[in-house]
Amino acid sequence: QHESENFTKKYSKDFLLKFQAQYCDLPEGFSIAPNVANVLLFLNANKGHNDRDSY
Amino acid sequence: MAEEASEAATSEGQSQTTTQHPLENSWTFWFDNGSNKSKQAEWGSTIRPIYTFSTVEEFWSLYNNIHHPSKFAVGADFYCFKDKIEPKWEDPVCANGGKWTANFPRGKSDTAWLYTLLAMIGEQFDHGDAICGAVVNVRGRQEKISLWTKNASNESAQISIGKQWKEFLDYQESIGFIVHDDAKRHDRGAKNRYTT
Repeated sequence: QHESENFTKKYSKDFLLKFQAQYCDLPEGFSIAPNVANVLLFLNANKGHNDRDSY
Repeated sequence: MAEEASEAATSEGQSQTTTQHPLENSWTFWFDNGSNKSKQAEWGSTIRPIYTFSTVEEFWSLYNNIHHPSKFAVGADFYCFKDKIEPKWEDPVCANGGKWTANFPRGKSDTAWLYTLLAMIGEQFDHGDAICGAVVNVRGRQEKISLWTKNASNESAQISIGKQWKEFLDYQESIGFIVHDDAKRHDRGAKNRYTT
């Protein structure tokens, strides 16, 4: 629907939004300084989707 | 075939095929924490890259864990630029460019920021090659989202980008395009080169 090896990889907003709930953990290898993490990330980052829904 | 398939284990220990959706471009999130800025700090010296992503899945893994603009401290700047392009006037790709800017009341830019990101990484702009990236500036009374472009003298491309951006955001007010060179010369007195 949205991509081909010969054309620009285009993804509509609605198509992209379908994936939002499926990827809730930070990418493997993600690492930033603690002082930046404190202001940039949710406190419960890395704990997974179920934990975030618990409060 | 552009898609890359990989195996991933579910929490039940079963195996399922997950499909990675590669983006046309790799993009880098950058962050500038306003509270770290000092009068002595040269502008741009506190910007730091956060992570470079190249798939739809990586994007959501980051977005779902990073605060949205309404939760950032006043003074914070959060950027998403194409990989290898630094979000600075001095970057050679940006040097002859400019930016469209849309203004929002404090705490009201989260959806527009997300839709801006999705339009960029999903390559929804007809002149997507002319885009460098986007930034949201969190300030005391407002949040500003700016879309940086490469070649300010290409009027038709800038107008196309500006019009499409407004459509993607469903933004009803007029937006202005300021050339970086004009901003450097006149600071806040710089006038819009284009409006739409």
